[in-house]
Amino acid sequence: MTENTPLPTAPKMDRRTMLRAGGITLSLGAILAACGDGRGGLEEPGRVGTATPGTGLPDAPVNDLTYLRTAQSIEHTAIDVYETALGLGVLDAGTSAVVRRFIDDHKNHSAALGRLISSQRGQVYTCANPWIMDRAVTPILERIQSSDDVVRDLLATAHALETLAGATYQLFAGMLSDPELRKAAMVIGAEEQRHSAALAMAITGTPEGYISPALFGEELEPTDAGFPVPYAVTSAFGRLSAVELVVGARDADGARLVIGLQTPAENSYVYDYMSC
Amino acid sequence: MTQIAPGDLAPQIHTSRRSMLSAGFGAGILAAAFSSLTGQTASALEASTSIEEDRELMKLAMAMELSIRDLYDLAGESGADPAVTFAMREQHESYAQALSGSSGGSANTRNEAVFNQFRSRFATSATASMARAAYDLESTAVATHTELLGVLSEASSARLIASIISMEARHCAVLANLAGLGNDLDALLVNSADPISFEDQ
Repeated sequence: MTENTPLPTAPKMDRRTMLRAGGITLSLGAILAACGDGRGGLEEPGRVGTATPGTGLPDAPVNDLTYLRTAQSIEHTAIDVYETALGLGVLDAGTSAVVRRFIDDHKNHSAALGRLISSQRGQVYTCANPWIMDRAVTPILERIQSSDDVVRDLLATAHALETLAGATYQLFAGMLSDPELRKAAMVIGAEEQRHSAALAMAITGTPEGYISPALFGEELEPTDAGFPVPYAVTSAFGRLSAVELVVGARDADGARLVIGLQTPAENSYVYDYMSC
Repeated sequence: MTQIAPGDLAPQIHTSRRSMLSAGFGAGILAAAFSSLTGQTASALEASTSIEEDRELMKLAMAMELSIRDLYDLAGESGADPAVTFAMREQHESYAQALSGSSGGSANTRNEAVFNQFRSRFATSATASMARAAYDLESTAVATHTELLGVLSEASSARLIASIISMEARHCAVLANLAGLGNDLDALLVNSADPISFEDQ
C-alpha cells in the first residue's frame, strides 16, 4: 500500500459556497435595512380604488354580561316568533295554549336573566337578537307565510328555535366565568331542552319521537317529503351543532328553504354598546 | 300535519322551584358531601374550588349516574319497555364514563343510597309505573347536576355537566309522556325536584 501525501490545494469558491455567501449577505442586508432610519410611509394595508373605507365595529369586551344579554335576546327572539305564529290564526286551541305557555316561560326566563344582568351592573336587552332576526327568522317567516303547510312549518321553526336556545345555554354554561351564573343559565337551559323535546314528540308522534335511531346505531332518515325528523332524545350528550330547519313550499327548482341555525358567536353577540 | 294535542290546559306563568333555590342551600349540601369525602371543611369548598375539589364532586356525580344505569337495568330485567330502558341505561353509562374520565376515578362504584331508594319502583314490568319512577329520578339527577354547576370551578367540568343536564332534561320530558303526564305541562316542562343530599354517604 502506498502512502500518498495530499498536495496543498488553493482556496476554492465553488457554486455552493457562492450561493451560501450570497444568501448571508442578502439576509444581513435585509436586517440592516429593517433596522434603518427613515422608513416612513402609511401603516395601513394597501388599497386599490377610491371607495370609502369601511368603518369597523366598536371595541367591546366579551364577558359574562355579553353572554347574559345575548341569551336574553334569544328569549325575545322566541317570544317574537311565537307571537307572530299566534297572529297568523292557523293554530288550533290546544296548540295555541301550549304556545302561550311557551311565551310565558320565555318571558320568565328573560326576567330571570334581567335580574342577573342587573346584578352584574349591566343593561337589560329586552328585544330580539338582530343578527338572528335579519339572517334567519325574517326569511323563515316570509317563506312560512306562503308555505304549502303553515302549521307544519311553524312547529318545525318552534322546535328549531327551542333547540337553539337550549344549546345556547349549554354553550354559555361553559363560557361564563362565575359558577353561580353557569348554574342559573342551565336552570333555564334545561327548560328550553324540555320545550324542544315536547315539540319533537308533538311533531313526530310517540313513541316514534322519543329516541333518535342514531342512538341504536341506525341511520337518520328524513321524511318522504324531505323534512328532518325531530326526536326528543337526540344524542348521548347535549349537542352544540347547527340545527337544520326546512320550511316553505317548493320553489321553481323544487327546493324548500333550508337554514342551519347556529349558536351565538362573535357576530351575533349582544355587546354592551348595543341597545334596543 | 297534526298539531299539538290539546290538553285543555290554561297557560300558566310558572316560576320554577329550582330557580328559587337559594345558592347557599345547594352549596351546603354539596359542601357536606365534599367534606365527608375529603375531610376538608365546607368553607374550603365555598371559598375556592380547585381541580382536585372538582374531581371529588365529579366522582359523586359519577356514582349517581351508575346507580341510574343499574336501575334501568333492573327495569329492563323486570320487563319494562326494552327500547326505552336500554337507551336510557346506555345514556347514563356514557355519563358515568365521561365523569370518570374527568375525575380520574374508576366508573365502578354506584351510589347505594340512590339505588336502594328507587329499587322497588324500578322492579316492575309496568312501563308507565317505571316511567314515573324514572321521571322522578331523572328530575333529581338534573337538579343535582345543576347544583354541581354552581360550585365547580373548572370550565371543562362545567361544559361536561351542562351537556349531561341538557339530555337528562330531555329524558324527563320523554318519561313524563311515557308515564301518562303528557298533557300536564308542568310535569312535561318544569323540574321541581330537589338535588340529592350526599350527607349520609
